[in-house]
Amino acid sequence: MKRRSILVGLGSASVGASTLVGSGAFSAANVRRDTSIDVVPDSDALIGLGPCRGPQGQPSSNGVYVVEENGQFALQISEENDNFAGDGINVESIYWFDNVFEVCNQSDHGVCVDFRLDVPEIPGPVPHEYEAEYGFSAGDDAVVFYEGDDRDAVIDMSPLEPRAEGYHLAPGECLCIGFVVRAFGFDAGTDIFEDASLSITAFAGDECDTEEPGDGDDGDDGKDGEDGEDEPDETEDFEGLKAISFVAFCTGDDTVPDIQSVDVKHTKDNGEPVEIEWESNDTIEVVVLFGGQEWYLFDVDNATQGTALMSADDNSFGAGRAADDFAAGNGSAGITFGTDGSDYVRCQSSPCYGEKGFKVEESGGSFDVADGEETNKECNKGPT
Amino acid sequence: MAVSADDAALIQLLPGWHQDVVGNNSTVSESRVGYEDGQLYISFEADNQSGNGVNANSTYQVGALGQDDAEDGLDNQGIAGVSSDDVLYGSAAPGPSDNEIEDDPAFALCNESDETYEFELTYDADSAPTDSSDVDSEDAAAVLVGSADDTWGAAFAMDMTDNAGRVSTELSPGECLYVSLIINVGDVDSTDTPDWEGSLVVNAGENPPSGNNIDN
Repeated sequence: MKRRSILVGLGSASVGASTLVGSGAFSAANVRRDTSIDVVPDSDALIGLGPCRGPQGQPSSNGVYVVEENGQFALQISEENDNFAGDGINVESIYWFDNVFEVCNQSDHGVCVDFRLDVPEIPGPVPHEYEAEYGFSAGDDAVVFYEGDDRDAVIDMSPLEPRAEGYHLAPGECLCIGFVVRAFGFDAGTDIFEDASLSITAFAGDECDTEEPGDGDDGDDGKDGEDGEDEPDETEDFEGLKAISFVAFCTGDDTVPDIQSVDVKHTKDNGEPVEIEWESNDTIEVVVLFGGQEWYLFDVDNATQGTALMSADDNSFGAGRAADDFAAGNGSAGITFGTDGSDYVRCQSSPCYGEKGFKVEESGGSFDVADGEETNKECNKGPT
Repeated sequence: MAVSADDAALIQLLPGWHQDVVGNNSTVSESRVGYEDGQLYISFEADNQSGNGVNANSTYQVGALGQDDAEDGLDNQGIAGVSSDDVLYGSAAPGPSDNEIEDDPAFALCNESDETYEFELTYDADSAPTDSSDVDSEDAAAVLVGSADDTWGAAFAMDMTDNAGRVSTELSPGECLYVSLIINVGDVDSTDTPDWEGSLVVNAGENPPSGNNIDN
């Protein structure tokens, strides 16, 4: 800013302009305006960080390597992480960790996200068979990050011009990230990322040169990674799904949850709902869908929002879990989600796992939470 | 006598995205700097999205910061916890942007009267992360950096962590003071850190108020 050198010229211009915009004068004025800035945990911040989530909001299996301590996200593949057995990865090995952590744009602005991390090199040597099969050698990066489960969609962590290599995230969109560790030449007990810190930069209002996550040929089997935000492909057909008759919410602690909203996310061509979006003021353990003769259960792991689709075909849609008895066509009466006796018998009046719950019926193509009702603890019994 | 909204009063407070400031080229979100009941607010609280604040170990910036702005406002005034090295956007940051504050501010304070006034900005802090004994000023900085478009003074910085921020500058009719915001949070426990809450106070009058004058 050349403030000092252009003082006179600009000052004059400003005074001149005032004759056009001036609208009076005053003797004194006082204006007070509020400001507020909250410091919040990573999962709640405008740039949200946490384990990758599936379509129903449940953490990915490799999300166990993500820990949040004092509100800060960290990757821990070590004995300090009690979420998995084992102390780390083997020496002289290669490990892939698909769908581990995600970066979410939780603001209302599109952002361009860039990553920086000083990745250690492979000390080596790398056995010839690994070099031949995977194409890396000593001196290459020991850890390579990629999009979700697409191991070919490598994320550049080098300190390049951020916008040139960034990822555009629309409001509400997430980028799920996995990584491969190529531990050749490290001594046992080595902390590969000792003192390393991942820097994530998000620029508002900028387009990125790279493709948006999940777009294009990601080199997999035709489905996008489990990044929790991909919409079903346009080719996906909802017509073969049963319409939702009701959705039930279970807390896991025999309480009746306070459901905030149940909105229709997708319908068949005739307007019948097949997928819903829900929000709850209480944490939800399980969501159950019923329609036709079909039941679907979703372990959502204490989520307060999510989606649920009338399908168990996770190749096409998501990770719904069909009731075992569904295949036998015994769905209108008591059903169970586990033939090994691990699950209670459920029914339309008691869709939760031996506990009370809350059920919202479809009516006219929508779900009115105000018309929802408490469900029974057990089938064939009244409220307890 | 008419009571006007902030975008139509004699003292105008305009978000960067306002058409009279930068308009569509602004990077400032209406959720961060906007109007409620006609009054300007600055907020990193819950909005219509799920995100509702800033992370620990993070830097957030609203509006651009030029090289001179950052050096004048941050480095030379010795604000704890943030320096020009922390700037993410603007000519003070690495990257292609050569924007100064006035090219993309968080908000602008404009004198829309037909007289020149001395304007004083004060920040009244109700709370700040440093209210916690576990957080020192090096780990929690929220700073308003401002510069008038036509003035000859250096950029100023107002630390939102305490009540020390008080600056004044003279604005001619039609002249604006442009302000950007940078927040730098260190390794704090974000589950138990007090928030920055406070008020930005603008005083203007024919008798110049007291305060550090940024005009030379």
